[in-house]
Amino acid sequence: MKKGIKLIMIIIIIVSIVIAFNMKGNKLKPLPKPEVTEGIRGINFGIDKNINEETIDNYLNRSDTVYRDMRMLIDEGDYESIGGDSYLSGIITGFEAVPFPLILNVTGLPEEVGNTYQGKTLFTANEDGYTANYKESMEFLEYYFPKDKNILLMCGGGGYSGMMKEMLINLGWDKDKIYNTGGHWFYKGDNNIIIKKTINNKVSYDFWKVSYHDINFDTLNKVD
Amino acid sequence: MKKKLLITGVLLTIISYLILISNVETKFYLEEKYYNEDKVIKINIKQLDELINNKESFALAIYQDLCATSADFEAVVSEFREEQKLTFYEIQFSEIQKQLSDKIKHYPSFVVFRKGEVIDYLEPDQNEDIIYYQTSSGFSQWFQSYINLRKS
Repeated sequence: MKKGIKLIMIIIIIVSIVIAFNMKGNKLKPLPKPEVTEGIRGINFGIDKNINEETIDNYLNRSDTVYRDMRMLIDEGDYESIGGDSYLSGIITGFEAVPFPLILNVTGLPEEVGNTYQGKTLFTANEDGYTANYKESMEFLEYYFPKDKNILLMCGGGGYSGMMKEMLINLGWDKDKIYNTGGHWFYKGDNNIIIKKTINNKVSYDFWKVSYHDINFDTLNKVD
Repeated sequence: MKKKLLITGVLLTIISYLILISNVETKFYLEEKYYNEDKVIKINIKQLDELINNKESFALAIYQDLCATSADFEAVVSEFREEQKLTFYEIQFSEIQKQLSDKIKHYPSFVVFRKGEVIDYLEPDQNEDIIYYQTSSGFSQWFQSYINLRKS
């Protein structure tokens, strides 16, 4: 009996050591604090100096972080009239698309484009900040941008992701947990998922590869 | 004879040096057709190649219209272009990635070409270029350091 108890104790100790060793090995190194890069990329868009298109590959697949691409699959602005590509043509592994134009009304785009998506939004920007249009608006943000995680944002050029970062901070998120990692147009790393394909001069889009979080406003409850 | 050769050689050297200096330091004119009309011409990479191969002197804005990143700078450039009645080209960043990728790493940007050669361009990741991006007067200061503005 005593031998049996001793054996169990030894096994428990060994298992505890193994678990402790694994936990130490798996402990994530904290992200560097957010710090804006140089030029207008930093001042105007808040793109991060340390975690951006050039370095993002070093920060993927973290359990303490969520990755959000702020683009729509198909941007409904009149981009065709100016020869632009209005489709999300690629996305980085691990990023999920949460379209910014459905979260907040986008203004200030060039005249030639006219207005982008003009439909319903979760919030409306005003002089005082942001007004929630639906009872579920804040819950949506808290669900896709959890406050207890690092939040890495990206879009096409860094514009939408900069606006999202600003909005979250204004609504009470921790500014030290949110990073604008810039624009997918500047990404040349190893973790790109190609969405736009051209085969025999025919263009097609594998949107099915994108984890895209659309919003069905008909299912939400409008704020009076 | 030797003396004549020496003098000729010295004169040629001086003339060559003067030509070199004038090309480096003097501001230049865009092609005549780009003056006196406020206009934007949207081009693709083939058309850009043609302008370069034709050794034209022109101005090129680089945007990508999918997101709002370029909006503020486009407004600055538009204001300047309207004031000065100039014609600029515009091209999508996605078009020039192979052609100018050794120089243009990000958008928005603006490039001045002299006889098909890149003379200078704005970089959105450089602190020294911030003032040229933010106001029409700032952009004008940079633009006019290379290009003469004709008066109508």
